Amino acid sequence: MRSDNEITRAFDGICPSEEELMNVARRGKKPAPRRPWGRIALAACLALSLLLGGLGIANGSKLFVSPPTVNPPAAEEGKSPSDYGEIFRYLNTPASRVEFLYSPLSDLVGGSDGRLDEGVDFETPSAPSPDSSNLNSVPSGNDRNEGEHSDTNVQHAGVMEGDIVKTDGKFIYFLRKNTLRVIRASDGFAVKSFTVGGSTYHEEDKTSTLCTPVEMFLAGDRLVILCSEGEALYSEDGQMKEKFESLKQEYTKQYESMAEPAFASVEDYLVAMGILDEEGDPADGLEYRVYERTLWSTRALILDVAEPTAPRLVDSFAVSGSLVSSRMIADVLVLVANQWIHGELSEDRPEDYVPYLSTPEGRELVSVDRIHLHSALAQKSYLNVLSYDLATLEQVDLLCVLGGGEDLYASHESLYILGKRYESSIDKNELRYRSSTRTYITRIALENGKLSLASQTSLEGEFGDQFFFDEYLGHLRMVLHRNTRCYRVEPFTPADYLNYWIGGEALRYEGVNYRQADEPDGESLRDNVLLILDLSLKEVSRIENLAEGEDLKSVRFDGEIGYFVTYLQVDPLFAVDLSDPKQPKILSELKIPGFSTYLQTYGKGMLLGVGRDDSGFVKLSMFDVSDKTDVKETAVLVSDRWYSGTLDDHKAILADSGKNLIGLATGSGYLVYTYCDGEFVLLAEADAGSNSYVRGLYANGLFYVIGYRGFAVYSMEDWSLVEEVSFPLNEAQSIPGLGWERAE
Amino acid sequence: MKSDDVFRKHSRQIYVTALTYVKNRSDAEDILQDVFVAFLSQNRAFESEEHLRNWLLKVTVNRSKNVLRSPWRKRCEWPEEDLAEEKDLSEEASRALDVRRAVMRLPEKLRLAVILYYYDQLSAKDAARVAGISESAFKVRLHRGREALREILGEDYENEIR
Repeated sequence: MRSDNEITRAFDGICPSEEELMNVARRGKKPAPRRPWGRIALAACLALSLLLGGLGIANGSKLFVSPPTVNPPAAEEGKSPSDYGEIFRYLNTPASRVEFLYSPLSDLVGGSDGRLDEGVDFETPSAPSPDSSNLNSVPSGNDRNEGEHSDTNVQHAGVMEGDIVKTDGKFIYFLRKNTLRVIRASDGFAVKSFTVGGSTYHEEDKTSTLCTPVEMFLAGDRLVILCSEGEALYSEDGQMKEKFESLKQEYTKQYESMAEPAFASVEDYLVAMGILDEEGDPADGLEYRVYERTLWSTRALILDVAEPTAPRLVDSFAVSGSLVSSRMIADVLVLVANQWIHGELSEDRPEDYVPYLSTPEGRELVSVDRIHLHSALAQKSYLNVLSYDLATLEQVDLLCVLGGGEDLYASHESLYILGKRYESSIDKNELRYRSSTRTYITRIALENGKLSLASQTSLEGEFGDQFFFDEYLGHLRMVLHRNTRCYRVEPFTPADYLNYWIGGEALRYEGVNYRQADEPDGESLRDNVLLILDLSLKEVSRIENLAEGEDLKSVRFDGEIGYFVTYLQVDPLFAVDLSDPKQPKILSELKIPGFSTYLQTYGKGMLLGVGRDDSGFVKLSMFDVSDKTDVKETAVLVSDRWYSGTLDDHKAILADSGKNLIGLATGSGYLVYTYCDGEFVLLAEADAGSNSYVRGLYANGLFYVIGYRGFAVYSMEDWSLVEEVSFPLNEAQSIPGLGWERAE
Repeated sequence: MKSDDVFRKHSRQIYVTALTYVKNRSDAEDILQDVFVAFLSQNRAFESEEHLRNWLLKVTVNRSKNVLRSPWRKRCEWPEEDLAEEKDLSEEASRALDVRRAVMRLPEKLRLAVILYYYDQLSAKDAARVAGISESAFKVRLHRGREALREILGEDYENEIR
């Protein structure tokens, strides 16, 4: 019996109705309220788009157009606009690009306009400060030989990353759904719960705001909770509103003219007549409010936890855009949000296209001098970077760069905004289509919380995550995967068009339609490249053609050595000598089955790999890297647990060489290993019911496995189970000033 | 039945199949549009409604594969609103969310097998054709997908997915 199974129910729950889907299929828009003339308009629209499609002139038709991309005009690099109007004009610069017919790839930027091949400087790069040389030589991750508690697994010691669990050794803070749990880390393990997110409904304009906690930071007495905040925006359909109002008026008059009305009130009558629904809103078919979009922002809640069981809200602010990533360096919190600019813009409504900051005093647009128009990424989105001093509770700086990005790599002194874009072009003489991915890098210098745009560049190839990058002694090192595809193309006629497109890709370039061959030709290239740039992002050196034909799975830099793992056929682990930035050298190449998606140095001369074997089971590898020219895999453990996607999130992994502990969430729980005499030894296995949002940590000789249901505590002496605690239900309190009632 | 209504009947299957494959709503909507245009512009005779459904899903899967050109699509994660949905969830809704997340965590090939078989309710033979693999290969993938789901979701769900 498969009908009505759990999976059907689970996905039906998020699937729009057939009617809405049909609207999407026909128009590619959010569904509008039903209108009597809808069918006619639909038929006309459909006929028109098919006609235009068939004739191959559907350039402006909604069905054929990718979301907008802009080629920035040749404005001065990094220049701030003189007023909001300049931003408006910039955003409205028409695009010129290669078009993909029927291709949902949205980010194809045609030609080389707006592309920066060479690093572009915005300031003289400062020489690396003397002590920066030591920063990265601190063993990365959790290599603490002393200390009473573990901390979030981070890329660089001292550059803190947000997570769902934080501890100071005395209390453990755990964030799940809308609830913050505060656990006393000994002494009875008492739990207090607080509601820190939820949704509010605004009666007056019938909109709702949703606030979902994502991650947090702990710095002394300050707990920072970063939330994703969404505000649904609606517009009104004037014609429909007019119709509704006139019907309402007409039936109200009817009611008032009745000598002995059979209804208790005019509202009851309007409901009975199908003008209003039970809630008093316009009835089905008469709704005139049209959902437009959700305005996303990132909210920071700053709590005082001097008394952890009674947190107090001390500050709260929000910046426009969805959270990309965040860091905490010393007492400075840095958050990065990506804000898309949607829809039709009007110059006199800057609130639609200028980033804003919300504070308790109100919402304020960012001033023009903190906005940079320069955009190598050439898309309609801002990257909003905000820095905030947790010691003084003051915002330090806010910088908005038009161009967007998808990931963040942060060292102590720089923030690197990382973006990737597909690019393509057609050579009309050779009849060859070429596509590749470029990585766009924007460096923002960070000094005591002050942000300044330093340099930008773009490089062929793409990255996987933040670990693919590393700043060390005035150089930025990275490994990128290049996948350049070349296809023969042939022009084709509109009549061929509809028959062909299902097979190969159909393209249009400079007004000509092409059909692309199904298979790439010999000029296609798939390899990996190691690059070393200086801090103005100019190339110093590179090694190309590494592991040809293989994908890049993980990268880790450790001072003067870099490691990376590729995967497809032979799955090697490479070690690279980076001591001379001008002449990097491949030292060794160890071929092993399976691959690691996460690498971390583990004490002296050891490298830990977490990944999966060929059949998809969790695989732990320990490599002896004491002789870099002869790297050996000294231990391997393939667990009987299925590899879980959460292992790609480095924060879900605990790897502490000081305590010799390796913890990871997989299967339906959490496993804790130690590495001893060339073997991984299982210490504890906790059933957490699930492996998502599960973390392991230790404090004061006890090891905690925390998941949404509760937590288990183990003694680190003999790994016996000390206590199992289920989180209480329906006991969450509200935090004064935060406004959320109960959300469990 | 009018052509429009035939498509309407399968629109959810097309949308969910695309959504679970490409993991984001806007791409899934694009694919839905593509499949709709393909459907309107084809002029072949379908032997049966199953034949048509399989054809629609085959086009959906092909389009989805084209969308996934990059080896990494981490930032195009499962829709943001699915995270936001976690407010005030009933037990049933919370369970549905867990199942969705578990399915979405499966590797692409296993995910497709699970969706075609359990959501689209295709027979193993039809699903194998849609996925473009042999029937025995499909059964292996389905089996592995089922094992993985059981492991991710725990035993509570064991009887639910069969």
